[in-house]
Amino acid sequence: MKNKIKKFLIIVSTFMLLTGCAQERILEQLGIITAIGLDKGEEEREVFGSFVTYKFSQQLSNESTPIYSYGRTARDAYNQAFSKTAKQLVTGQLRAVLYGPELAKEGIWPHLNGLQRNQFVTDLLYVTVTDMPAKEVLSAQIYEEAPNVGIYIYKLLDQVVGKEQIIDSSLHEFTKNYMKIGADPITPVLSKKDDRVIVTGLGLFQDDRLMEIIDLREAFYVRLILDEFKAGELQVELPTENYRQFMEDFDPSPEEESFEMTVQQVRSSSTITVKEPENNRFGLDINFEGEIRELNKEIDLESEEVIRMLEKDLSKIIEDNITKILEKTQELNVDSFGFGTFWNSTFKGNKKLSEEEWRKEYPNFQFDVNVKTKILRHGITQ
Amino acid sequence: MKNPLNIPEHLKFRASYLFFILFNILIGVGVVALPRRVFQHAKQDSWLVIIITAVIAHLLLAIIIFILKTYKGTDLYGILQETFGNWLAKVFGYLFIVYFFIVYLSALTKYTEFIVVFIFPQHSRFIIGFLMTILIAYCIYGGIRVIVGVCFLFFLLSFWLNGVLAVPATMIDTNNYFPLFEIDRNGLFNGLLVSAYSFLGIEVLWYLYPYIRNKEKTMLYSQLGLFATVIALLGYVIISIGFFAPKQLESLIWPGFVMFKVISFSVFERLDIFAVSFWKFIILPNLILYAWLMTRSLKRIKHIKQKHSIWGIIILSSIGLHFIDTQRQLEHLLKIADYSGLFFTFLFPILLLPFAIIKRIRGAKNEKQN
Repeated sequence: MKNKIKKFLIIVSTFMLLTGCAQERILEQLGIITAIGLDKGEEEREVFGSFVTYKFSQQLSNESTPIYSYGRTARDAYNQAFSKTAKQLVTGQLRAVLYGPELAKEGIWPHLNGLQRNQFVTDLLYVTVTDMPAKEVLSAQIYEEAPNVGIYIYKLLDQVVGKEQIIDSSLHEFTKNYMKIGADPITPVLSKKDDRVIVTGLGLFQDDRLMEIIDLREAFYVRLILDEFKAGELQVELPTENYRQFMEDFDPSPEEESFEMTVQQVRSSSTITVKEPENNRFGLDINFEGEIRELNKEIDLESEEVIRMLEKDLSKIIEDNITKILEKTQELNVDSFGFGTFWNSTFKGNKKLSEEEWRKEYPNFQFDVNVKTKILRHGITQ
Repeated sequence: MKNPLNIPEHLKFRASYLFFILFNILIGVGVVALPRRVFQHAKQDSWLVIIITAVIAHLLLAIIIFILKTYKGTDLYGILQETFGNWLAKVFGYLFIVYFFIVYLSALTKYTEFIVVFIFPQHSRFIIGFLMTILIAYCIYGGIRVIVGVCFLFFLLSFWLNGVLAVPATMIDTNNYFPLFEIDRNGLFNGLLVSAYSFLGIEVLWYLYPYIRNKEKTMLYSQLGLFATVIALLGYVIISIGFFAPKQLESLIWPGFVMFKVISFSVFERLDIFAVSFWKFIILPNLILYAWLMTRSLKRIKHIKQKHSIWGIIILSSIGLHFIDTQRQLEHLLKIADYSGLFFTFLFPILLLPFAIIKRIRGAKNEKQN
């Protein structure tokens, strides 16, 4: 009997002690931030923050405006935003940060550091820059089925990265490349067009400063060097001249100087090696495979010769484009491809480049670009 | 023998459970900080340092088992009594208790620190820690077989978490591992010292040995347990070297948890928070084993009932939890635990080894004479 009472008391006391929430968070009372836009403020050393939040109201209004605030740092702007909404702002669902062009040119690390330090912010968040003020981009009103523009940006970037049009740029990747000696970060560039957020290209950074924006066509070649393709797509322009004899069978014989070709299911791999250390010469070997999907002129694809010519021309075009991009990065002195890390992982001791040496040396690096192209098949027609 | 231990047969367990016990006591709070701590000294050759330390740990484990075998079925206190006499044995016994307490307290504070930093910043660490100690008391009340069972079950529950690291493993940058063998003597030494801390805990065998039913298998299973630990530690170290930039790895306090930040499932978006709470399954057996070690040695020295002494330990650790509230104090405590651990885990067996060898030789002579 006594034992039963004892057991009963223990059970009751556990109910008493262990029920209840540690920290109450009621969904309707939270302002869940999905995207943050940061711009340069009006005064010196001031940032302007735009915070996009979820809305959980019954009446869905089409109009959605972010919360705006000023602050000395990104964190301060976030704290200032507290006084502008009745909801408790939380960052656990943050999907993207957007940095306006002026801020990005000055350096974004001071405003990113806080996010990286915050344990509630996921490392998978997208770090992006915008080519117009971030406030503008976040005020876009068309965002398809997404509940708000922040989620839309996240889905958009997910889709574009998935399609292998740009390289992945999560907070983790950015921090890693920023901290690495011998590599510079790259981020996607967002813009607004017809009230929609769009991806326009890639931003090349030197440390944490935006130096150059390249378009999506060039972004293909950046990815070709940095990453591997599993199912990419490439559009190139080829001169008609060499192929005229193979087009003769088809009417009418083309007048234009060039024709377009789309290669799909692109698979690629790239290897970077230090070739001649004394001349700072690197070898960049790229294997490129793909299928011809579209030609806007009829060519006799049956003949082996044409395929071989196409392969050769493709290799040349890719090599030229890559060389162009490499020259551009050398002019700007941004080592987006991490040649410095390849150098440093090859040599020990004195031959290793320190951060300053690497900045000084990078424009003098030489590259041997070598592309091997293989056309696997050409669709379901001859 | 002065103090023959008569462990009742129903309290003994099979040697195969040693695998889980050793894995549980070795993998604890330390593993999330280990990559950074080793990397600070050994850079990209950290994996090499871990392998060297692991070899030393395997040897030490063999030495401990050799000594225990020589003294047939008694535990550390019995051995000390036989070699040094009653008085010194007591001194060493108490020193060991103090050491166990420091390790126990530092593990407890560090885990509550995880919870406070990652999940509930507003919570008092005292309450989190106190709730955990109740579970520990429950296990001590249950006795050794419950403890072994907990180790086994929690191993099964928590082991898969290491497998999730396959996700960050796909994101590694192989450049980070090269050039190989760049480490200098200083870095090697400091790296060895730091990585030695993650092998504290093999001293659990000193007190567990009498409880093993089939003692001839002790060597096999405890070495296997240690080996599994080494594989797990190597996994953490190698993946985090590739995953982070060198400077970044040095700046992170708990790279182990930060790696979980990039894992996201459609049904579970933030695995890092889940991992921190799930880490309890890894910490709890660890704490329980240390609590058992303390109460067990108190029982051997002072004949205090384990059910009584555990409350003393809980009260003391709660007081400790209350007073250690900054990260710096915690670091101090960890340092004390690490340095004393070096002595008690790594040097102590070597100290006892000559005595055991002499005893063996004498024993062999006696047998010949008979």
